[in-house]
Amino acid sequence: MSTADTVAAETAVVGIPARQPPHRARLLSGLLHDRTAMIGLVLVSALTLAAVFAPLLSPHDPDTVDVARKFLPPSGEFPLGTDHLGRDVLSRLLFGARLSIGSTLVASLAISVIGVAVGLVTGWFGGITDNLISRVVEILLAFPTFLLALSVTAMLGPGLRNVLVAIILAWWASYARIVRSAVLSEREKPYIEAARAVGSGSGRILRRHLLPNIVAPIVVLTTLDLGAVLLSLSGFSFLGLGVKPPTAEWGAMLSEGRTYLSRAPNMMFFPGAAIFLMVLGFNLLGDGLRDALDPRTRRSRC
Amino acid sequence: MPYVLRRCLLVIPTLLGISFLAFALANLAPGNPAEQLLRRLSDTPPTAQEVIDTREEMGLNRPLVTQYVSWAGRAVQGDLGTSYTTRRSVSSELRHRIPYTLQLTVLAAMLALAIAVPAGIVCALHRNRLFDQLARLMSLAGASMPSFWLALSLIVLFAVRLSMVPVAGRGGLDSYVLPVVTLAVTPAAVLARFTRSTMLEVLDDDYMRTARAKGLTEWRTVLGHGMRNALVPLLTAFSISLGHLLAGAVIVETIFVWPGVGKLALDAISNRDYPMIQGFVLYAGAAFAGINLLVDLAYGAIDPRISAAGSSASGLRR
Amino acid sequence: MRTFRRLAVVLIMALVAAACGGGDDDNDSAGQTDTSQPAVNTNAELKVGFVDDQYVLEGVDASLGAYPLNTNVLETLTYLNDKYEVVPRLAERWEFRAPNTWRFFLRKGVKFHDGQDWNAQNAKAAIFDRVAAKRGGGTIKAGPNSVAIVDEFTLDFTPTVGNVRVPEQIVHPNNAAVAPGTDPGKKPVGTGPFKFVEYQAKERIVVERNDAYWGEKAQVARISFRFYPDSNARLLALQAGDIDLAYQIPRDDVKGLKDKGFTVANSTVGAYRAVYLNQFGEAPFDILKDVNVRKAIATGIDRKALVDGVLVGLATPDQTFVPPGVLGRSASEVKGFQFDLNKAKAMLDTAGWRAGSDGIREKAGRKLKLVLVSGFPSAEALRPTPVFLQSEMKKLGIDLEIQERPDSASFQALMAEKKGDLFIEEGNQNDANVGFLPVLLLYTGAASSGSGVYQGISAPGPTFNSLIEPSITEPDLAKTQLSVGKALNEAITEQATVLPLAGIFRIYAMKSTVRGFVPHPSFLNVSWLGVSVAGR
Repeated sequence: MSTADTVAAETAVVGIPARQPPHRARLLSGLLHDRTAMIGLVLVSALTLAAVFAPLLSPHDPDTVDVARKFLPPSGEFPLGTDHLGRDVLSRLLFGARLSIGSTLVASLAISVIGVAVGLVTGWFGGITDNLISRVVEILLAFPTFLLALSVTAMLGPGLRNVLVAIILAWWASYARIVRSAVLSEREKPYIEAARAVGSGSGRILRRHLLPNIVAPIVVLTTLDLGAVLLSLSGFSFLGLGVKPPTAEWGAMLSEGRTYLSRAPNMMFFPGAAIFLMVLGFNLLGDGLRDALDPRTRRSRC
Repeated sequence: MPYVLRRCLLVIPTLLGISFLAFALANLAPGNPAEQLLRRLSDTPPTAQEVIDTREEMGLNRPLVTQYVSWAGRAVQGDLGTSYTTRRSVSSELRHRIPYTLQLTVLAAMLALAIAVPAGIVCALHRNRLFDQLARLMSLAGASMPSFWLALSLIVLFAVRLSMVPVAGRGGLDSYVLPVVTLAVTPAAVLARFTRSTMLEVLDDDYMRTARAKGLTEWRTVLGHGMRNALVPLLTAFSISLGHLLAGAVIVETIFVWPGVGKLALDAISNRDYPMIQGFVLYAGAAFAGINLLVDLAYGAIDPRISAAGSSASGLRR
Repeated sequence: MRTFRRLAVVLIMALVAAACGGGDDDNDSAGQTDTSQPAVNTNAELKVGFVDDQYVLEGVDASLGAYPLNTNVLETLTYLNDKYEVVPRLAERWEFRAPNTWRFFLRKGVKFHDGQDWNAQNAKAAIFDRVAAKRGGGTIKAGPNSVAIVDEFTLDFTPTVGNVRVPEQIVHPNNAAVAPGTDPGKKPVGTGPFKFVEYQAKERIVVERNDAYWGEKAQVARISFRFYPDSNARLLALQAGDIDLAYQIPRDDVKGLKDKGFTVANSTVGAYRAVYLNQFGEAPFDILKDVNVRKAIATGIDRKALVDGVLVGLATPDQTFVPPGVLGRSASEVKGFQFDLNKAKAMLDTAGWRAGSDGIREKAGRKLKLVLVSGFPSAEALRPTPVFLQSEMKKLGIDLEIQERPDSASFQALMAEKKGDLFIEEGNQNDANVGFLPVLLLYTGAASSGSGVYQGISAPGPTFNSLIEPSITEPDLAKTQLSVGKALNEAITEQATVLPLAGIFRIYAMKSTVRGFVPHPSFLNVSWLGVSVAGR
């Protein structure tokens, strides 16, 4: 379920974007003028800030059980009601944001770092390592990410850490692929030849010349994929393979809410809405970044 | 070597890799398979001697390589072992349940295409007008929506409050409605956006402008030239969507209690039913490798440039 | 762009409206209370929603139609009714002949669904030979030469080891009579009031009335059992009218169902939720070696809050883990613990565990941290009790970590390795054998036949063994109950190695048109004989 594939397919058709890194000021102004991207930014920031300041914003402790007050409807004391154990839904939502958003960011970072590293190395150095790793990448890409992550979870067992490892293992391959293609096409360019002629070492070339040129599309891909990673993560928790009770996390809360669907739909509705808004924010932001970085695709949007 | 042959041969190492993965899953996982099998056979827990005997019976004391070879040998003949939980043969379980998943995924794929492609084309033709705005909003929402949230909300609305369709389980035609709709939403959203952007690219290029200048009607040009050029990226996006569909099937089958392969996999994982997990991974991997192969061959047929360029296109989608 | 935003607002409002309105269902056609009394429709089809499909279809343990979902296609020699009494079924009466033989007098005039006669010869094949092929000869301990035919309708059964509990054990559907020569995994042929029609794995099993039944005929023409592993789906199916009767409705939904006019029937206690304490663990699972800590925990759990709050009052705060119906008067032998938070805290203080700065107790630099393993029958079935326990323990100053296992096999594996302090399970009493559970799980004496997994962590010791030993060979019910009661007291009160939390009863919900359903405390023994559907 990776947007990286969709975008990769698009860019394959229109050609790998941007040679030189775009001017930062232009980027920023481009972004600011894109209203939908701004909505995305607002959503993402608002939810992230809520997560960061969860202890301050939460009216109650998210884990306090009090069965006498279960299934209360929304009220002043419990703005989103209580769940089946009498815990405050809003507080759990806020603390859950920390786990959901935090894990998503960590996983996405790991995915892009690993993917870029592998792609750079295999694209640049080539040879047997490249062949071997490319075969591995191809095999990994033969699976849909979700199923691959599911299989790894099967091996490692449930748990948040294992799910993150599984998602990272399943996702890095497509990034490596894209970076490798980019490196392969950049390698022959004059400016790289020049750097080599001057005597720059591989490491220097990779760091100073290649990396800046691929950072932009990678950032776009990562942002666009943040939504998919969050959906995957919550999906795993929803299926019972993620966090352990009583941890508050959006996917897990949805799973608990499912049991009490008729009795207390608020338990299901609000975590789901939170996931939806966050993913929407990531998608809007990612779209905006992509348009800002490559004016060509802007035409096809708005 | 002709493209077709080369591409077909590539499947072999992929399948080998998948089989390694499937084998590794059960054998690298913690837990003692012999003990687990025995525990499920009856209410009373097994004695240590029984565990040792069963280990011997199951061949678990042989070196890993030997185990792999014999497992792979059996797998090729269609014997994937016996499930720990149901005590039925894995391949018969898979065979029984794959059609149900296929029913959902094929219907959902058709629904998604039927909505997304026309919508995308219309959006491209009437860019920035009301339909376009609305469709883009909805496809954005669709791509961002967690399928489990959508499924549960649809159940509450249509099955419980309005009683229009059954809640869960596979029954008559009306029981297909909610699962198929839920499954189709994300691929439809992604495909619609994709069709739109691809059509816009195509509509803008020189060939199209020439055609328009020559006086051909918009529709004819779109359908004739536009579609053919858009076919390759569309095929790409569609095969990506298949990935979405199979992934979404796990969640949808769980919520709607659909007797398909996705739910089978999830139950197997929850129950540490390793023979079943292995069988499923093998099936899913092989199915996908097969689909990728077909799509790549289709590329080769549609666009001669790609078959000349070799396998560079195959890595771009899943 | 303005249209974009407006549309976004509308869409979000629509979603909110759709979801927030859930819960109050005014369209359900089954909601009307039946004031008239429509006649019984003997041609009706009853649709039942069961939990998940766990039928075994191959091998000696094949159980299609019998276990765990009892569709009444097969019958047993004796039957366990809803009062835990053993009553005649395919055997009219039986007697014990010392030292170890049971003589069964079979019912006359019974035929299998395929026409074969029910007699001693067929009974030997139908029941005893079949069970002898199972691991260990099954619970009744049948062997290849255990049966002697006395005459056409009388047989003698001598188990391979001394077994005074045969009539109580033979009620289990795994010991039912399968017509000789038939395959119980493909098409079960028995003597029951219903005949097998069809089976679709994981979806449904359908049976129809046996008009040639030896007893009172069934009142419905067909029953179709549908599998719903997901309790919420089962509940929604009932509300939507897809099924007429549902097993095991979530407790929180009972009131809602009653308000909508559904009938909710509870059985007597047939299962228990209990915690086994590990007193033989290695570090870091060695804190519970101290009996005072164990007793403190037993004193510090508010069972009433668990029963009233978490279990919505649909359970009993039992002090034993054998249902009172089975223990009879001897249930009072078990003293147990009264909830007293302050006393519990004091007990922990005395044991050397003092409160630390973060509220968690410590002793010699070590924190009072315990691991609770949940997983019998599955972690899902036990939720949210572990989280409740966690919050109770927190009040005591104990840091409880929850580890879930998805099924009983992995749960017991962890127990076998002694890798946990507390093991919570919900176990069933499926036959009338009073001492079955304590002997199987806690007894370590000479006659022990269990695998020792539970004993490995919770064996109460030699006093318990000597108290319960007489019950193993005692045929008299009252004496057996007394012996077991005293032994349970030793285990629960004196040694505190088992902490019963609640007695669980079964909850069945059905449309008001369903009559005559007897809620059985044991799923395995539900009888569909008297059930009828009115109207339609």
